[in-house]
Amino acid sequence: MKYILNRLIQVFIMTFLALTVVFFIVQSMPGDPAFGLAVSIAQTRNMSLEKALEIAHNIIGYNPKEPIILKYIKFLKNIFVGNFGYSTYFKTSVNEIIGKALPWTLFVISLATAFGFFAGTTLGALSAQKRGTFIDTFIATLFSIIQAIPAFVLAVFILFIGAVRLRLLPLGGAYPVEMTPGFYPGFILALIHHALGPLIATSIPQMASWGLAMRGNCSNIIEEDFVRFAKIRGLSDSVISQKYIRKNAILPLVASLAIGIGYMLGGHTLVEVIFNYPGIGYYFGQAISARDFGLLTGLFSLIVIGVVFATFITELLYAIIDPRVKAQ
Amino acid sequence: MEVILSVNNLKAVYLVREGTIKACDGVCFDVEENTVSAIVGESASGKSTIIEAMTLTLPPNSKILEGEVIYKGKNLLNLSEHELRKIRWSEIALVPQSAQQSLNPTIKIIDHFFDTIYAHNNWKNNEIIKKAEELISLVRLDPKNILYSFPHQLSGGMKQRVLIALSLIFNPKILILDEPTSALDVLTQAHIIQLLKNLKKEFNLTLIFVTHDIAVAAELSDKIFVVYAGNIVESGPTREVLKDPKHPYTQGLVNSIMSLTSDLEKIKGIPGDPPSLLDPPSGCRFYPRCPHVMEECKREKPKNYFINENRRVACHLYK
Repeated sequence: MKYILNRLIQVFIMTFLALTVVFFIVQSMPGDPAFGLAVSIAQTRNMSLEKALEIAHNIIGYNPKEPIILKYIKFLKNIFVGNFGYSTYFKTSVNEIIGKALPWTLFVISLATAFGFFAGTTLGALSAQKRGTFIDTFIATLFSIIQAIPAFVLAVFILFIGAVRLRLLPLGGAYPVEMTPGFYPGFILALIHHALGPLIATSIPQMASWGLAMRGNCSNIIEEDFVRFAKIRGLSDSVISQKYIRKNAILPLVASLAIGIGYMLGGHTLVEVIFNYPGIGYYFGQAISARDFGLLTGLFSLIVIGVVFATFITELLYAIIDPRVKAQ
Repeated sequence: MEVILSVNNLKAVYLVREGTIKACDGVCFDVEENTVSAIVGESASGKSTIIEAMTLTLPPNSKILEGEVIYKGKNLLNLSEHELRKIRWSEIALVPQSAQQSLNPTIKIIDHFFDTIYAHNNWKNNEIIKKAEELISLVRLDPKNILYSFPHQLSGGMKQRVLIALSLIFNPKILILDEPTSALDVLTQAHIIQLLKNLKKEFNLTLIFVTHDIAVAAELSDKIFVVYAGNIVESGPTREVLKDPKHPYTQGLVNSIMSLTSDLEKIKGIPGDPPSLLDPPSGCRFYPRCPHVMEECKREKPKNYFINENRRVACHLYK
């Protein structure tokens, strides 16, 4: 209990520091969100750019002259009560955007991670246990190649083959516009159909990296004395493989699992942009190109908080499953 | 006494990039029923290789070239994996070196008993628990506590005892231990030695153990086999061999033992280093370090010469 309390305090401090960094990085970004609007105002009304800028600032509710420290305090206060700010581009609160976008992102990355983790660790362990055979060479080479391909290149490739050439996948969206959302089979099928592209593009690289990590862990554990002693005691190969090799090899990976999900919140951006999938990453891309500082800060904060809490959950999880940590 | 295990001309090598390491080069010895045999030698002399080759538990980069290991009229080296699995652990148990890392860190001690017993028999769960409790008390540990602990919660001596308890599940005829007392402090060593003595009596065990510690061998064993560079150079009853060593290597070994009462002036090491087993010297492998080296030692590998009925020496001096 005391351990959890200690950890929670650390989580709190960590979140605070990370949010501070996020805030100042976004603030120091070049560009003015109202600049585009100001230019068009200046042209249509034939006035000086400075004046037009002032009007534009008023329109989108952005005040560059406000002291940065005041903005910072306001930002922290808002985050603390769960208000992630206001999007000047979408003219709505960031909370609303998060509420709309987060479910899609979580839907895709949790499925992709579950599949990638399961397939990766299974194949990785198989590869390590068949060391030196054709299966091992095949899996290890394939995974290394996949890992070398950036996720967005893979995403473009899948989009091109799946949607453009074979016309099997939709070109964008989370579901067809003509359908009303609800819990009926047709809609759920359409949901999966639309998520398929991002799902494949995210889970394949995940599978490769979990697989290679698992292969490395297993190869080390196969040479441990306790595996040899299990063989000497006459244990069957399947018991040794499950209880002695895989169980020990997978523990450190479970630790990175939750952290991985946390990072995926942000890392998913390019895939969502390519598939036009309305998740967090998609809005992130919009916020960057529109210089929407409010939205940008809000989404950044969400990701930071996500990663910190994922780390926290990982530690708790690890303490539950690994007897060596539990003891402390 | 009856011979229970007989090893003839056993040759095993490790295959490494630089060539083959001839760690067990034509080893012959007999083990009599209900005795304690010690295999002694310095580090990297091939002691462990001998017992691992005997039980076919060598690591994958090794190969048994020739020889036979006769147990109950059968050559263990010719048995199928299935037959071997039946004999191993139920009749011949082997406790490996590195007791500290030989238990699965993520399962409890009791699960090691379950796994081992399930692999050979289908006992009921409560029978297994009863057996485990019985064996853990036998090695002087508290079963209620130990069985439900994880390996990292036990001390080195406790782990060694757990391994010994595991090895006794099926009342094996032969128990082979690789360095059972190294990596333990002197007091724990003494406990383990006493424990092994008691167990031997209680279970009618035939013990074979490997050690680099001559004092432990002297304390525990009836018969001693001195290994040098993959060969057994001398063997015989422990007392006789240590009192009156014949082979120059054994003489050097005995002279280098320190004790509280010995005269420090008389303690001598053996000059030189053990040979590389990748490219061992021709003839007698000890000749580069031997004080009595003769011309034929360099050319010809010495045969085993009988000093008396029980003692054998592989040295040209005793032709």
